[in-house]
Amino acid sequence: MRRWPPVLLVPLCAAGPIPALAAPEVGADPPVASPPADIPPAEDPPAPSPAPGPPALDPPAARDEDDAPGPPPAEPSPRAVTSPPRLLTGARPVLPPGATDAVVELVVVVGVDGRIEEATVSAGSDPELGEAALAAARTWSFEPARRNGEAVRARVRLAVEFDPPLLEGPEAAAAGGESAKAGARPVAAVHDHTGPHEGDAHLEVTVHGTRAPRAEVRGPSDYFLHHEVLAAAPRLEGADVLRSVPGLVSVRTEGLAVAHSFSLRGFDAEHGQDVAINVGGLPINLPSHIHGQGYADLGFLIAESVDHLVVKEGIADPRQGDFSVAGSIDVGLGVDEARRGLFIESAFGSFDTFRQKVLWAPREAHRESFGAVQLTSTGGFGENRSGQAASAIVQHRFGHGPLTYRALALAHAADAASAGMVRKDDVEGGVVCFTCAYDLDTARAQGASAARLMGGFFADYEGPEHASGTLGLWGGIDDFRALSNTTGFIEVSEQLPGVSGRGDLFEQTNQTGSLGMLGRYRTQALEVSPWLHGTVEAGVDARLDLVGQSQSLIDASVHNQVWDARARADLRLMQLGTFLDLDWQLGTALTLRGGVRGVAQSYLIDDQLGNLPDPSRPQGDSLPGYRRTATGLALLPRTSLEVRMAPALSLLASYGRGYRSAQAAGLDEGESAPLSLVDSADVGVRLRLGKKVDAKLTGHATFVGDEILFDPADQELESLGPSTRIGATLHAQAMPWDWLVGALSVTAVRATLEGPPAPTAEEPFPPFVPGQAVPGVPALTVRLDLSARRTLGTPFGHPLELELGTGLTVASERPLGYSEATPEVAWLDALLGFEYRSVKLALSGYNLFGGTMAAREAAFVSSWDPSAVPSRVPERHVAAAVPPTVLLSLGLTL
Amino acid sequence: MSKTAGSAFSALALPLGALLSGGCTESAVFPISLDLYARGGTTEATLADGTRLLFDRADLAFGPFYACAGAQAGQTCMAALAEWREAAVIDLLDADPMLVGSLDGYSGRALSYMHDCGIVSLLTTETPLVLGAAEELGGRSLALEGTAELPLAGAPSVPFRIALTIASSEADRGQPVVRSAPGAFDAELHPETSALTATFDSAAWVTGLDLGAFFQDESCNDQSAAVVCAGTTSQDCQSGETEDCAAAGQICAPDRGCQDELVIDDTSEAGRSVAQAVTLGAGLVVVVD
Repeated sequence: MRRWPPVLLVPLCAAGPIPALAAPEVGADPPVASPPADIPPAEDPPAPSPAPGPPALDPPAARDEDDAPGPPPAEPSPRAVTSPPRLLTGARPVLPPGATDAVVELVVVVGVDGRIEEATVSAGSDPELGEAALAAARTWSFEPARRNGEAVRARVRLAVEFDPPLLEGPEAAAAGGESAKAGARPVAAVHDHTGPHEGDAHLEVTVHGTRAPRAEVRGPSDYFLHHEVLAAAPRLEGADVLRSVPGLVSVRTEGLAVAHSFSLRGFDAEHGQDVAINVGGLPINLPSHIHGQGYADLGFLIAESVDHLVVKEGIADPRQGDFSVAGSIDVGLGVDEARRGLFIESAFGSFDTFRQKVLWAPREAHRESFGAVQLTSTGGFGENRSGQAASAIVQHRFGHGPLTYRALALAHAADAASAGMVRKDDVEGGVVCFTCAYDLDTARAQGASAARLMGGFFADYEGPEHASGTLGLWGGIDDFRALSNTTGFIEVSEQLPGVSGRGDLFEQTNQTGSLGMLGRYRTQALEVSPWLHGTVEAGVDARLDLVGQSQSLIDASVHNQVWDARARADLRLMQLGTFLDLDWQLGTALTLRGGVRGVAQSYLIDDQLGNLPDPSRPQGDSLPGYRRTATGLALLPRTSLEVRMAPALSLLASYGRGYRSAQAAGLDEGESAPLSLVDSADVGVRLRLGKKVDAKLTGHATFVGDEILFDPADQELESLGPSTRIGATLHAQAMPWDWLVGALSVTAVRATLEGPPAPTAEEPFPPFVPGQAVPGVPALTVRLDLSARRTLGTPFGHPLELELGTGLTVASERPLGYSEATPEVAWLDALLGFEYRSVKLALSGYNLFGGTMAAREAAFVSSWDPSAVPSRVPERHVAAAVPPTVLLSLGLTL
Repeated sequence: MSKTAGSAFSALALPLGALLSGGCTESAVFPISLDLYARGGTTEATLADGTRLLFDRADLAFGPFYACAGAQAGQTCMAALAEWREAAVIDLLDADPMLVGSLDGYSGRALSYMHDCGIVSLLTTETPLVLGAAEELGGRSLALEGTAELPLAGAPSVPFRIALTIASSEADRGQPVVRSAPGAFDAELHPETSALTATFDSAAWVTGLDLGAFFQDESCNDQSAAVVCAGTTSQDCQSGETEDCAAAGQICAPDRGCQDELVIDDTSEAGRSVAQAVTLGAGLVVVVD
């Protein structure tokens, strides 16, 4: 929808001979410039009109805040123009997310045809604003400057002030307030990145730094977490930024080389089976991974490279794909202007932990352009927990005009030992200490190694009137190996008769090669009537995964001899998704969004151990192997509704159907629709008071068709049947003063198993019964992030900054099988830092409440004494959480 | 979690947590701990041929013991409802229940049980584990001693001693040796259950004995053993020497000659038949009090 450029141009009061172009009043004709002033002639002699096509726009000049003001303008030429260029039409610039209102000065050369031939940023608040200003300026057309009635080229300086567009006529009246008065001075822009602005139903801001706005936060349980909130608490690892997600609990349970374990909104998401995670547009979850469906290892993440999180709990967005059962988390990468430069940090601390970070974000480059490297080494607490990890992330945004590009690459490698889980009665009996590993080869061989390389290339198009599109290609290679023994000595070989008791050390290997593409296009705003307008977006995404995996029992005391094979398969997984999304405004207070997602999945499973004959019986007449295929199709609706009761108050509701793809190895020949479906409904109310307070209270209900749980005894996922979750979340982000930022979330959920597996001959004593609470999920989760930064003084003329930060997570008890439950737990992380000029010294503490806290607990059968009578009754097992840890870090910013 | 943080959280969160989870964490599974008793009460047995066995001693190494949820104990009882992992010597002549230990585990319906006789087959070793109870019996699972009164007029009482090792075979490695038959056991174990009692009837183990194999009336020939018995007279077939065992108050055992008592052990067919009867749970009744 075309509008006059809003308050873009303001008179330059002190620019000397540079002509002043008055701000055009909305609805009024652009005024003639005030008394023409002399303008320095264009440096080049007048040139013929340029060929049709978009004029070349110089990239924004680097801005150096310390530069002294420029020299005074030259004396005017005797051949002064008699009238300066006059702005006629053009698009308004869109305020990028994260930016506050600002003024960007452009120097443009207007040709004889009234089109801009050259444009540069002479001064501005940040390079991204400059980009936005230049992009808008490209669409402007002018009445050319004239000398003695003849059109001439002219260089002019423009001040571009970012403001939300004003409403006209009835819309303005309906919106009420100052903005409704015709001719009133526009309200300064206050972007909140979460949807339509106050008073403007059309402007929607994307949260990935692109300049094509889209309502990423649309459902009641969607949250945009700013960098300020994510940086409030100290982060031992990059992935710890996810702890700020409302209702999410994240812990390391198996060492540095194995993904975190998550629980979110009543879901025990294990290593990612119920949460779809994207980083910079790259999908992180790996389908049919041997260690867990949807395995998502965020070990590569570097905290300083995380700009924001877009959290969508529930399913309201047609874009949400596989593993969006509890929801999805989009990690936006970038470094804002205040932190750009070369940042080097070294940290030393407890348990011989060393961490080295280098982050380079050139100041003249885009917010999304940076490179980061992190190296970590730790001796680990207790026994058998040492590890090393290295990761690198490189991203670059380039191009200008309507088409820009983004390239992203990440690499990660980690190797770590693990103490596994120990029996609680052994800890109480003094057989093994809480942080120790059993003194057996099969226990001390536990550990894992992982490596991953991913890359993506994305082209982003921003057209007029919010039209936008993206085309992307990505690929990745992941390699994983883990050794884990949770049960001691109870396994019997299935392949070798009479072989048993060699230690239940499972070796899992998984190699995944992935290739994917995505594309989407969003129309410009379509107006059916003055009270009905919106956009339509369509998209497609596809991925191909080639997986090789195995699971074997090995004897660590004899050169890792393999004494049983439990899985050996090659998988070909293909997933194609498409979506249609409508985003429509009804009147001024009602926004209806929704659409549908279609998904098609194809599996080819080459199970090399399938149809294996019983070794105790005579040889049959077939060879081992079971190759099979399966497909699945689903059409999944998603919709959301927003009712703006007042500029600061909105009611929201959403419904969506999501899915989780099946673990390929469990599919049979010709099986159809192997998707675990989930229905999710949310309602809520949102209160926004500018940037000071953003609060939400939501209620949600989720119905899952097939709950899956990782069985540590069998080292595989098992189905628990349908489940139901009903809960509520309170979330608030606040920045009451510039120096204080905080976020609080409280999530309560009641999760029940509706139909766990009944007793069978093979499993006569199942751990769960109908109506029982879903295991591993806390009923109540509380998270607080708080950060304060003040200037203590100005020694030697430079500010000495004090920074205090804390992050607190509290989780109520979590049910286990066999009527067991974990105790309630609390993690407290805190930071005390001092920054002076380019040096920062910080002391960070993690899990300060500490004690003998378990990162993971489960009840199952195990027997760890090879010379004693074995126990056959399920016993509680624990894996110790990181005890209180302190790190001292020294950082340098250049 | 520190006490302060824990107290504050508990005051705030536990009521809400209980409200959310109460009724949903409620399940049919509760921890239980029962007294485990064992008893006997059989002092004599009559064999099929009328021979009366009068027991002077009947000791059984009993344990470990597992109660299982499945109808078929053994491979399907990898996760037991409850267990007692020790062993004790049971005086099977005593009808009074003897408290042997505590059966600990979880509540539920037990449809089978399994136990060992003091000698445990382990997955980790080829040699079974001999528990203390079996060591008290000289490394054996069962010790029965007494006299056998043969159904022959004027026949003397024959002292006998049965000493058997009862353990799982290599094919059943890792599984307890005695596994209840399907349908033989059905009991609800819950926190209010006070005790579980196993009652052994040693007579059931020996009723199938045929002691006739131990009494012989033969003379030496080319196919006979080294020592043959003609009633109570022992004859060495190689030397040709004879001995009147009865005169010395002994019995004549085939291939052994004059013996103080009739010994039935693992090497004899009779011993294997008694062991099999024990393994099959003959005469064993397990009830919940």
